[in-house]
Amino acid sequence: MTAILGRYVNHDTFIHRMDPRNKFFCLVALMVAVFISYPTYEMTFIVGGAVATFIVALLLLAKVRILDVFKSLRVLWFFVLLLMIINVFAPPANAVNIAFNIGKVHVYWEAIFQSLKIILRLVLMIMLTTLLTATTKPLDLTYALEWYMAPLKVIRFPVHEVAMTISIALRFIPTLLDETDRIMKAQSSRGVDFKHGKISSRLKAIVSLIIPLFISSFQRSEELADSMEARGYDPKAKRTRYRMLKFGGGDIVGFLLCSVVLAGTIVISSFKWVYTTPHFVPWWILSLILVFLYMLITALVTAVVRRHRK
Amino acid sequence: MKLIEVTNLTFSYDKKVNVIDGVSFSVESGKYISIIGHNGSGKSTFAKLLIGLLEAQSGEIKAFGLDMNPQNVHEIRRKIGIVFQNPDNQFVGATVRDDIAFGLENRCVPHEKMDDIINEFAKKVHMEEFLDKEPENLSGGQKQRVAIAGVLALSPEVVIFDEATSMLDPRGKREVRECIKEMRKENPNLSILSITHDLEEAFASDEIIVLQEGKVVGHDKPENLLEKPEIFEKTSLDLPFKNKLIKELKDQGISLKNTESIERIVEELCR
Amino acid sequence: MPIRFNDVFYTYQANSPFKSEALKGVSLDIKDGSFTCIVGHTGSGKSTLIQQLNGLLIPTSGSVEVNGFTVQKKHKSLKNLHNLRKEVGIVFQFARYQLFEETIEADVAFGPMNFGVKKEEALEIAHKCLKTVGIDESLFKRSPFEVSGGQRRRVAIAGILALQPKILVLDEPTAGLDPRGASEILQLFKKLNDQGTTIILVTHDINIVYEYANDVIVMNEGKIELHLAPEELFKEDVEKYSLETPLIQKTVNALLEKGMKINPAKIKNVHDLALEIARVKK
Repeated sequence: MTAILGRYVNHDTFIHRMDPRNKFFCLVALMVAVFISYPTYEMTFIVGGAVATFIVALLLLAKVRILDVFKSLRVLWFFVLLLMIINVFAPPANAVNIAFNIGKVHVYWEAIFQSLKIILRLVLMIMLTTLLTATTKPLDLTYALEWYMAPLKVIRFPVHEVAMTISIALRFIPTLLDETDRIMKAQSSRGVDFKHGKISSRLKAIVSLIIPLFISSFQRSEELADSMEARGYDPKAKRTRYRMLKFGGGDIVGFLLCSVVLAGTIVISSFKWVYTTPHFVPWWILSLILVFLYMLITALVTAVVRRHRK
Repeated sequence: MKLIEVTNLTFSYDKKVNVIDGVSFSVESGKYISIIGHNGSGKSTFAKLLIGLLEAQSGEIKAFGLDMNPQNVHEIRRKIGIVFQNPDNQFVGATVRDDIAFGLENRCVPHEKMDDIINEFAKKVHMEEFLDKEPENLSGGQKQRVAIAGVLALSPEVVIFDEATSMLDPRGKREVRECIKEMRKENPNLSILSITHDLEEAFASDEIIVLQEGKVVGHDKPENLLEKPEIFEKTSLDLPFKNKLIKELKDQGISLKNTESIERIVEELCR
Repeated sequence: MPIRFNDVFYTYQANSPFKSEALKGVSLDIKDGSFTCIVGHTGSGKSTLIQQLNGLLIPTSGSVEVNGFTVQKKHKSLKNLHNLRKEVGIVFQFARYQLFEETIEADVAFGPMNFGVKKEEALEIAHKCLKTVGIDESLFKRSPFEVSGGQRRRVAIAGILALQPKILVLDEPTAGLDPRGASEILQLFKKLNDQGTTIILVTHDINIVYEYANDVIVMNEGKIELHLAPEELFKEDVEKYSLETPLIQKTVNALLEKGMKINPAKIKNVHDLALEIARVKK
């Protein structure tokens, strides 16, 4: 399976142990924080950089391989390129500072900055979702979803049924993959070529795969329903729960941290606080110092937390 | 004590051919009954009728003093457990634990008691080391044992095995048969109804009911049925090895006195 | 030309931490026209072995020679793998799940049509094969999903027979069948074998070996442990290889041990055993 949106990887980290409902909240909170805007470029780099640092630190804490995140970005490189071209040829109205020229076209600093901002946000979004899916089992995500959907019971939305359907679907994914493999082998043995050939024969090939899969899935669900009914399942009736989600101490920490980050960014943005660079220090030295500072903080924090864990 | 009583049951899928045609019998406490018949004789339909997944056109089923009807079916299901043929298509939970818990959740067992029950019954089927394993990492025999644990955890009075070993390899078959043996030893009052076409399995039971084209053509203890080999020939089921050997030897003019076991037969032949 | 396995190794998922070696150096010859049974416990490598025969799997190392084709990594024969599937027909265990066409005859005709046979001719072949497996003409135009599981199994077999393969490979064809159904299917294969098709049958049931095969291969943990004639299997301790000794084998050995001079080569089933005992006693 591809590394897009990261499959669950089993480690025992602070973030893995967090309650999935809390992780959902934190994910949303941090996503909003990523999209907050600031009045000046300096502020964007300083505050945006701080948020990014926080997220990278979380990734490291969760033992997510940053390399895998960039692998999923590889898929988006085309989109990124398109973005940059658009921004170059349609610069923002207040663009003034010219960086360089390509023939007769002016490439403004503002345009470059704008594209970088969008790309950075994209990267952070992917990092956040990977963080969630790599540290939370799909079934736990389902339980969290069920909990969030609970209020919908008021309008008679079948919350429990939806959650049960999703969890059964998840349980059967490996089984269905095996079955697809088996059917492909059986049809290949009859001369079906899934990889070469004209469009019409390849279409037929796919039909020879999908129909048996569908039919067996229908039979499977019938047998499963019979079994569930025989075991006394009634979605409308009262039933107890084996797996219960519990908030732990770590959840309070996580919740508070993310809330602070969200609140902080909103406050900084609304009050339009600005940090002005001293005139004698060129902007690029400042940026370098900033980047170095953030990397140092990330490394320190992760080292401290890891040592504390041992 | 009669736990289940079936009287003149008739069922048809398409209203033309009767898959079950006027079947009558009863299940008593502590008995191990096998229902045999070739594929298509109506065996599996029978299991579904007993547990109320299908409704018969005529005749009646009485279980635990209640008539089988839409009002009583839930109460009846509390006391009957059923293990189906396909190990995958009855495994609901994400792990062994969750699957055994599924039945407990349905019966509103209190959350605090669940872990103890799950551990107890997983041990009974020797699956305690696999409690956190997912079904794709289990063999057919292991999955069927989990199904058995899930059924036993609800303390049924009758357990139905609907061709529960047909899809298993020899090892899986052995594991399930061992489970059934242990079940009987631990709970002598438990009634077992095994639907199968495997005669070696059927001959381990107390009573055999032979179905052919929806009708009962034989209902007796295994030893007694063997005195009437025509019944088996009609259903085109194969006799167990030992009995086949005795019959073939008889055809060759060799009558045996002691037919208790293959070892005895060999001894007698070599004298 | 015999089928030849040359030191074949096969490893699943060779590049991941989940790799598993299914075949560990398999070398063997299967004669033309034989009825060979491959027996072994679950996981012994039987399924992996047969999938090398039509190129569904290519050996991780080593090669397989079948009917002039060589199945080997990077061999030029691989370009014609498609044609190999016409010569070696494999019927998998749950083959009845491969049916998908609107009618039974169309489904059986599907195979030949994949190899360029025109529709009318393919349907003729389909009708012939369906009759061979015992499917009545009245069912030809029915949907494959309207008939019973046992009939679907036969339709699936007909679908492979329609390719007119010289080698027919069957993976547990009798699993889940009642004794009558099993015997009918096996008789069919015997008939095809008599007509010249090489039959390779994978099974757990050693009784089938004694009754039908003239060659048996015993696999265990990815290796070939035994390759001999059925009558020589009687005296082998198959439980060493995680297999169950069939009662007929136990009985024959018990009788031989006590000195009864029955001839294992003449014993295919219980009937033969009784005949042999009667012969010796007279």
